[in-house]
Parts: sequence; structure tokens; C-alpha cells
Amino acid sequence: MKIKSLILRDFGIFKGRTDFDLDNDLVVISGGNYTGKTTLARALYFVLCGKVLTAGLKLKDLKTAGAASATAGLVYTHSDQIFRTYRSTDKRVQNEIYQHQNWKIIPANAPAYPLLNPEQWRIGCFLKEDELGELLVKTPAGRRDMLNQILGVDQLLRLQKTFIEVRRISKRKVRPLLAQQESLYFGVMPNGEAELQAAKTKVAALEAEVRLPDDRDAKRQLGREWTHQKKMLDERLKKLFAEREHLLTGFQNAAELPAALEETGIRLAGREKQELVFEKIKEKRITLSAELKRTEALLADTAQLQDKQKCPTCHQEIAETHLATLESRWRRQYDKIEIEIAQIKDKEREAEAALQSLVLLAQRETDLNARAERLKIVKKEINDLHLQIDALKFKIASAGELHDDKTDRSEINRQLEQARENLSKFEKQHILYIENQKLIKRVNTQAHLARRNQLLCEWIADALNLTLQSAIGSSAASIAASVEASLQDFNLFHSQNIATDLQKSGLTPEVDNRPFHTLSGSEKAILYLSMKIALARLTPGADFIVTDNPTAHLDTANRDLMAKYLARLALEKQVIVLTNDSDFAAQLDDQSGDNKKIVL
Amino acid sequence: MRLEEISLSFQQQLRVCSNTKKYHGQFTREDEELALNAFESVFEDSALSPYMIFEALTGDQEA
Repeated sequence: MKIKSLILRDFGIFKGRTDFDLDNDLVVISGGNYTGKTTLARALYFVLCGKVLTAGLKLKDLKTAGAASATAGLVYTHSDQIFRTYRSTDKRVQNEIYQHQNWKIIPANAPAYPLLNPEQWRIGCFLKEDELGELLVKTPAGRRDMLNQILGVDQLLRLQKTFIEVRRISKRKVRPLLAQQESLYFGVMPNGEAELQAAKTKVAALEAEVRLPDDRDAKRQLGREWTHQKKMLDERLKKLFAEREHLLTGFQNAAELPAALEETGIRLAGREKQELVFEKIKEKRITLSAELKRTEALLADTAQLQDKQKCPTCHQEIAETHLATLESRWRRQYDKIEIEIAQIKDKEREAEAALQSLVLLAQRETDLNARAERLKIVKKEINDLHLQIDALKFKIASAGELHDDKTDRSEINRQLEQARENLSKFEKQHILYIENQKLIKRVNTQAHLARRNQLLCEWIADALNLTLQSAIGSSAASIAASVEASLQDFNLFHSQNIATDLQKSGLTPEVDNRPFHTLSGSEKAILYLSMKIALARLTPGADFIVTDNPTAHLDTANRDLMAKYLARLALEKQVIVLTNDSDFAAQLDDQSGDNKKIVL
Repeated sequence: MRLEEISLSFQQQLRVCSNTKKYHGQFTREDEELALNAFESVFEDSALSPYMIFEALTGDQEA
């Protein structure tokens, strides 16, 4: 928007109606003290947002002394149309549009000028003489709030606050559910399913027993039979143990029997050889006996020949010497054979004795084999008996209670009653357990939902925070670039390091590693003006700036630079300069020949 | 800032958050629309109380 004219009625120093034609890119309003320069700035601000520009003043302080109210009117162009807005201190507003050569009233609540908040108007379009001082006395938080309003993120901040509260509500919903969950987990009851089933089984068994007494008697009878069978088996077992003892006679234990059997087998292995030796000796004795008989016959023949002159076979004469030789020869042979026979008989006896002992050994082997075989059978039988006895013992033990003749019906009924009481107790416990489980499930579902809701709220709050940071971050970067460009125009700071966090410092950034408060008055003024221009550039609609005494704190050189700067700024936006410095007004005039001059 | 711009920025940030470890796979398009609607409602109507927003977001009547 661009301002065309300002109409005042009973506004401050301006009594009655006073019109100011401001329709130029650069308007210089000069005048001495108390001529109404600052009043013009207040009037412009009042028309735009209905607030008072100067801190400490109230609306009623704007009117001329003695007047009922003050009214300010503003004629301005916006979106290629001409509008007029009147605002009075008694809170009446009238918006008009210039159409067909006439002013037409438009709704008061829908002004044609940009809908900026008071802070945006103030910072974007007005530079008060004492504004920097006002800024510096604010707290950092206050300055930050102001900046947020200027950046237009105050709406976002409101949203952030609201959604933080929403997140807090979601947390509050979760907390009691978590506490309930925890208490339920700590107080979790035992399942009791096994105890319940055991009680049911016991009751069923006792009820069956009560209903079927005959069956119990049959079992008792069976128990008695099993006991009798066990006694028989025990006796048989004793006999088998005795037989085993008998079979193992001569042995320390059962392991010695197979060892002895093995040893016997080894020894009997040479029996055939021994028999062969004995047969050979016997054969030789028989041969020698036959030889002895033949020799004996020869001797007898020789003795018969001694009485005869001639040989009865060949009828030859027999020489006595020859017969003596023959007899001697046969005698020697006979003696020799007799000795050999005696020797061979000795050997034969020895061999026979050895053979006899082997026969005895074979008999022992047969005996041991028989004992071993029997022992095996006995052992197997003993094992089988043990198994049978164990089975009977188990059966007898299981039938022990039934077999106990002392158990009677009243005792069973008493047990049944007790079992039913236990069952009832366990059933109640189980019902409580099931109820508890249902409650846990319900609380878990609620807690899960509440946690999800909390996460949803956190998600929105986080996204909103990022949106805010993004909005502030992009604005801050843009401001920093703009301020750096302005400072270059003034040739004030060497290292353009203004990209300090304006949000963090609250519009008092550190420049060239110098804290804002250590800058000189002129440096502060120029830096502040640069920041305002930069902020105004981010505010759509803040297309003009009203500067009240912009040369305060500036030396001659900087005043010259300021004149140049404002003249250049007038190319970008409408600049209205209020000054009591006639030299500066002249300097501005030098910079821009077609500016509008108003002298109050 | 205009609602359309800030709403678009908020939607983008919702998606950025959805890709973080904390929220990954937790929310659907419907949740995003729900959040966006809540955001726009609060932006346009500053009189909405946090309880009403919580109820609108979660359907929890006891808030």
C-alpha cells in the first residue's frame, strides 16, 4: 500500500481539520520542536491499527485538548484501488473505496489495507526517535515475542502452545492407565488351573468310590491275591538262590566258573596228541613183545638143535660152535628186547596215567559246562522272578489304601466333603483370576490406545515445532542477508557476520564479534534501521516507512550516508521522513530532486 | 503468513517427522489428514480449547 494523504481532525496539536498530501515516494516533513511531526506518525499508526505508537500514551491522549475525540483519516492505494479509512479515538471506524468518482463505504471489519498486527505495522513501517531505547529496555523474551509478531509466526506460536497443551492432556490420560497396569501386574493372581483340575479329579474319584463300593471290594480281593502270589514267588526265589549257591560250590563267585571252564578247555586241547603218543608207545611195546617171542622161539630152536647131528631141514651137519654163536646172538637180542620192553612199559604207564588225568579233566569240563548252563537258566529265572515280584509290589502298593481294612465309608465321605470344599475354593479363585485377566486385557487396550493418542499428539507438536523453526529460520536468513546489504551501504562493519541468530538475541545481534550493547550510538541506530527495513521486507503490505528523526546520534558523514540510503530506499518503498534537521532535509533534497517537502 | 503456505509447510513437516525413528510406520494418510484438519481448525479459530482439539483428534470423550 502507498499513502496518498492524511486527514486529521482534532488530533494532537492539529486542532480542527488538517490535510497532508503525502503522495510521493519520498516525503520530507521538517519542522522544529512541538510542530507536530511525531503526531503525524502517531496518527498514521492509529489509523492503521487503532493503537497508540508511543508507549505510555492512551487513546484519549491523542485528541486535541478540549475535543471530544480525535479522528485520523488515511487515503491510500492498495491493489491498484484507492481506499480511505477513518478512525476515531471513540473507536469508530469507517472504510471507503473510491469507485465511479465517489467514495463507497465498505464493511468496517474488512479493511482494504493489509491485515498486519500492530507490532508488524510498528516495526515494519515506523521508526520512532526513541524506539531503540524502548527496545533495549525490553527483556530478551519480550524482544523475542516482538520479533515473532513481526515475522508473523505469533500465530504459529499460539498453535504450538495449544498443541503442547493437547500433548499434555494426552500424557495425563496415559499416566493413570500406566499406573493401573503396573498395579495389576504386581497384583497378578496365580492361574490355579492345575490345582483346580487336581481338586476336580479327586472329587470325581471319591464320588466314584462312593457310588461303586463293589468295585472296591473286588480290588481288595485282587490285592490279597497279588500278596499271595508274591509269597509264592518269594519262596521260589529262595530255592533258586539255594541252587545257585550249590552250583557255585568251590567258587568264590559266579565269575570264577567261566574262568575255570576256560582253563580246562585250554588244558584239554593237548588230549589228542597225548592219546597218539600213548598209542605209539603201546604199538611199540606190542612190536617188541612179538620180537621177544620170536627171539624166544629162535632160542628154543637152537636148544633143540644141540642134541641133533644134522639139520632136520637140510640134513647138513651142524657145527657146535655155530650153534653156540647163534644161541649167544639170540640171547643177547632177547635180553636187549626185554630191557626195551621194560622201558617201554614204564613209558606206557606214564602215558596212560597222563591220559587218565585228561579223562578226568574232560569229565570235570562236562560237569562245569552243565553247571554253567544251569546257572544261566537259574539267573534268568531269578531275574524274571524279580520283575514279577516288583510288578506285584507296585500293584499291592497301589491297592494299599483299598486293601486297608480300616478304611470305611464315613472316612471316604469325610474326604469327599473336604475335597468338595477345596474344589469350591479353587473355583472361586479361578473366577477371580479370569476376572483379573479380563481387567488386565481391558486396561492394556486402553493404555495402548492412550499411548497411540499421545504419540499422535507428540507427532503433531513435533511437526509444528519444525514448521515454526523452518519459518523462523528462513525469515532470519533473509533478514541477515538484507541487513548485511544495508550495512555495506553504510560501510560500517567489515566482516559481514550479521547472520547471528536474531531470534536468539532478540533483535540485538552480535556484529563483528562485538556485542550489540558495545556498539556506538550511530552504529546501533544504523544497524537497527537496517534490521527494521529487513523485517519490513518480510512483511507483505508494509510498503512505506515513516522515520522520525533518523539522524539522531549520527555524525555529518553518517548523516550524508543516511540521506543517500533513504533516497535509495525510496526507490523500493514510500519513505516519509520527519526531521527537525533542516540540513538533513536539504541533503535529502539533493539526493532526490522530486521529493515532496512539507514544512510544519 | 497465509494459511495455505503454513498448512503446506506443516504437512511437509508431518511427513518429515513420520520418517524419523520415533514415528516411522505409526501413522497413515488418514492420521495426517486428521492432524492437518486439527491444525487448520486451530489456526482459523483461536477459541478452540485444547480439550476440544484432543477430542477431535482422538475421539476420546472423557477429556
